[in-house]
Amino acid sequence: MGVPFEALLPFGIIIGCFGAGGYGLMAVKNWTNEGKRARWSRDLWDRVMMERDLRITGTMRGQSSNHEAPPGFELSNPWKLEKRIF
Amino acid sequence: MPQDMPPAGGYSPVQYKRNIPARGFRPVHYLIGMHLVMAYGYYRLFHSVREQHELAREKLWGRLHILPLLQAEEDRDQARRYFADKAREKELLGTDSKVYHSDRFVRPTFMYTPSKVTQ
Amino acid sequence: MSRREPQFNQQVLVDTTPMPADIPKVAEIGATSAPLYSAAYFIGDRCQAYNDDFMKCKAESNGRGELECLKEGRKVTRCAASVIKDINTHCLSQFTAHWECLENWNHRLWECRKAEKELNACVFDKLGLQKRIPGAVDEKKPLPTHSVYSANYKQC
Repeated sequence: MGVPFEALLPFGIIIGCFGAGGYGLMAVKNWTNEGKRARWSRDLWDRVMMERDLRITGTMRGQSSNHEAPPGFELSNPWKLEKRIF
Repeated sequence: MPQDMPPAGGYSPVQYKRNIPARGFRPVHYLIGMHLVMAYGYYRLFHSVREQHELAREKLWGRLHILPLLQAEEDRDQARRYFADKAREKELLGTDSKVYHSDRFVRPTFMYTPSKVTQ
Repeated sequence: MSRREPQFNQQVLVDTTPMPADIPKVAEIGATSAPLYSAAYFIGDRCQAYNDDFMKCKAESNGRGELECLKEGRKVTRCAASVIKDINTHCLSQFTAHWECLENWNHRLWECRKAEKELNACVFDKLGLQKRIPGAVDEKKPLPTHSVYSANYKQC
């Protein structure tokens, strides 16, 4: 006695949706971390250093071991601004 | 009327005791075994905590060694902006006024931001 | 000076005015977080005096350290840059292996002991710089290769 194929359709939908969500998240995580393993449990030091990495290499996860910064690095420090409230 | 009497020769003995042999070791051995396991666990924990302290120290000193150069970099940037602000002020106002009643270096809280940003 | 960090900031201010010409120029360090962290102990070994000098100057200048300690700051930067340059010329492969490992393992030094061991050996041979952790229980003894906390079994 065969299983009617209609009984399998919901499973297909469930697997498809979870798969799309999971692989989508994986792809986004991979893309934001540029193929490297993600950083986790970052403290303030790590976050600031990652912003410095961004200034040097142009990406958050990019690394370079040059002893001299690219030209214009010392002029590129952004100050975060906020509008005055009071 | 004859009274109901015990049977001749008395009642047979009632078995009220269970006669099951005690399984396993003696209880004190379980107690000792548990303490041994706990002692080994605490021994490992002691050394793990020691090691964690050393790892934390290693991380701390690694950061401490590169802290001055990052601080120097940041300070140069602050000084550059400070001199640039001074120069702009001189150009616009013609005076070299002090904003704060202090000769310390103060990172400005309020900044003039250009209205037209060219990037 | 305590300062509140901007919250919900929408814009940044970038000032591209260069440093006044009367202040000597110095090339900033171009190493990013992982290579800097990897080389931190060697920087500390060679540049301890400059670092201490700079931090002392900052502490003693009574709040004007940003302007008065520029000279010491330049020395710190030059010294650190020299260390990174030397490591790059002499131990490039070990250095790269170590900082790539660090970058892959959330900058956890104890996950990369194998690469670190090779880097330490190479740097000690070529440059004479040594990794020393001040205040450690046993300063001579390096940290164990196999950490209880290490998730990276392949490295150990």
